Amino acid sequence: MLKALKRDYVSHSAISTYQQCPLRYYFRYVANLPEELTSSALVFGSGIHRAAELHFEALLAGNDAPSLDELMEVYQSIWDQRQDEPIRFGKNETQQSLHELAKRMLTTFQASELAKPTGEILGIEEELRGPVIEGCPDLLARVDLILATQDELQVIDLKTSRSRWKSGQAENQAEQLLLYSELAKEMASGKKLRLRFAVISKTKTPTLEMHDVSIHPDRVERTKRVVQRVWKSIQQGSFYPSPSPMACPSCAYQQACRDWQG
Amino acid sequence: MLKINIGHNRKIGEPNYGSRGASVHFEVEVDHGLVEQPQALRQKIRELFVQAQAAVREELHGPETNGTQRPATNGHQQPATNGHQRPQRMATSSQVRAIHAIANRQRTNLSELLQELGIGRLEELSIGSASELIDRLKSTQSVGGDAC
Repeated sequence: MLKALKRDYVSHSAISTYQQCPLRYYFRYVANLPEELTSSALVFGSGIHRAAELHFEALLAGNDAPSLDELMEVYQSIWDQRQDEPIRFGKNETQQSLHELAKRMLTTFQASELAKPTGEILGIEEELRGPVIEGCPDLLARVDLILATQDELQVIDLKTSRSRWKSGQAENQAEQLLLYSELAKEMASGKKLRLRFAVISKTKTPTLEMHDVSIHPDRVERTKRVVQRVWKSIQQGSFYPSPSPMACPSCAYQQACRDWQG
Repeated sequence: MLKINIGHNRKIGEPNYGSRGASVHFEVEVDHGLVEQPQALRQKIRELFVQAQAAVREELHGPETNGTQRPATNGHQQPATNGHQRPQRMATSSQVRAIHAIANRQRTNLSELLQELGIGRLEELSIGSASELIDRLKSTQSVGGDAC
């Protein structure tokens, strides 16, 4: 329990984990249990992110954009790093089928406007940290891409998604970017802050679509209050299972959950 | 004679979404023979940019000593503010990595560069100064060609 209290930062990912299942949070962040299985979606997403990171790093350093082969090389390197881990694949899914999907998605990425930003790249996988929520430790964020245009500072989070996002989906998932905005606003220097999700679909013909999130001060405050409440529950040691037919099948702590006796 | 035109301008944010800016332009005549000496030409251009940046920085922030007056942050944490002045955000780690990458590619002596800028580490640059340095290094690359 002490480890939970000793954490000197809080991330959106940790808060979201607690919201999905407090016991899962406990296994991951307090008990530090190794994951029983790694989801293929997690490795796949890391590979796509790493490829995009390489692309933007090259642009920032004044190099030519990497070729598809170079992007696929870093995508594959993420799988290679995990080769000794037990990976759980989805139905009708293999590493080879995901490899082909990654190729299609990265081709789509390369052709997208996102891959040719008109603004100035300020941050790639940039770690931002600061005390933005009263009563909580520092908020820690890893922002996929920070762009400065003449009038805007854009904070962009890259998502891979099973299907294209429906209208309103970005607003439903806005909390992450709203929290990031609290850290990024100091970089804005008077420019308008713009929060955006870049969503690449894992479909036969992938698409990359940009979805904006509106910033309402009330909603930012509400999000901060939610984090405050969650943090308070964590500090109080309120950990319990939250069974869900959607989340449990892909949970990395299924055995630990069955063994847990409270 | 060869003419070199150097321009540098910068705008910084002010409280209540205001801003103020400063710009400086040099036109300098140098020996035409420099065209035949790409390294020397690049060095001259770099020196002029450093002069221009220093002048603009001084105009906006007042005279600098050795850069140690900047707020002590690691570039990731938000520096403390008094509620009246917008803090000078330090360079992002991506910018610092990019400067290292460009400098390595161009075989630029980083120690000399830091000395020119009057700082001990790239992390002491502000976000704006880091952007300017990246642009400058990239433009030097396109003027003189890649050293590698």
